[in-house]
Amino acid sequence: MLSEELPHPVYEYSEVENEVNTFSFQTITGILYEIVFVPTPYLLGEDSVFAPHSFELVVRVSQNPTRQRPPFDRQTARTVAAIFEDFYQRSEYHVILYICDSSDGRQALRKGNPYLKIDDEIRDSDGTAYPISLILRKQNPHKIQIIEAFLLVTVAANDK
Amino acid sequence: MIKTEQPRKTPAERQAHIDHFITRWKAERKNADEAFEERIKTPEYKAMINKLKEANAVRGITTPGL
Repeated sequence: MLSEELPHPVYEYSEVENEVNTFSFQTITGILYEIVFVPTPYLLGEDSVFAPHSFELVVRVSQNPTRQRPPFDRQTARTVAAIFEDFYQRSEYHVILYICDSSDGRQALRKGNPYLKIDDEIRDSDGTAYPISLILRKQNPHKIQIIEAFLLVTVAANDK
Repeated sequence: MIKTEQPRKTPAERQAHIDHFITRWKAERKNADEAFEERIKTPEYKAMINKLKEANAVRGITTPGL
């Protein structure tokens, strides 16, 4: 059955017991994903007022019986988006950072959605670059201040 | 509303902060990945997968056996 023919637009997902902010779902091809929002208070500074609201998005494949690179799957993108929505519903202050260079989650962020995403990169002293994205609700009451704090971190890399 | 005023850092302080962030991020990611590899082998994790399969089946989504 093609994914477009599935009777529901998203896969069933559940929160993993005894794990913080961890969600799991399985696709029709048997690929098992884990979506984790890892507390990351140290990006914007542990003394920052945004520290307790900052999380890193981690997308893991915990089981892949296809033994191939997970293909683009519309239901997977929608499921990740639903998990995003679930997580953001828990607090309007949540800020999510994504650090890497590929993701299924990014595909869920389309135009017209209620989220704002800023892509940038940071570099360590050795010059190694790390792509990083900031994701937050457009309605976040501290949107401007959070973006400013994010840019104050990333601008150090771009000043060089 | 929370107080949002942020102290300004010098370029050197910002770079030191980034280096600290990347170092900590790598260390925490490594620990989390190791814990994850162990967790997915547990009976509890396998039970959760079975519950997901059942819930998907109720909705007409058949997922392959593991």
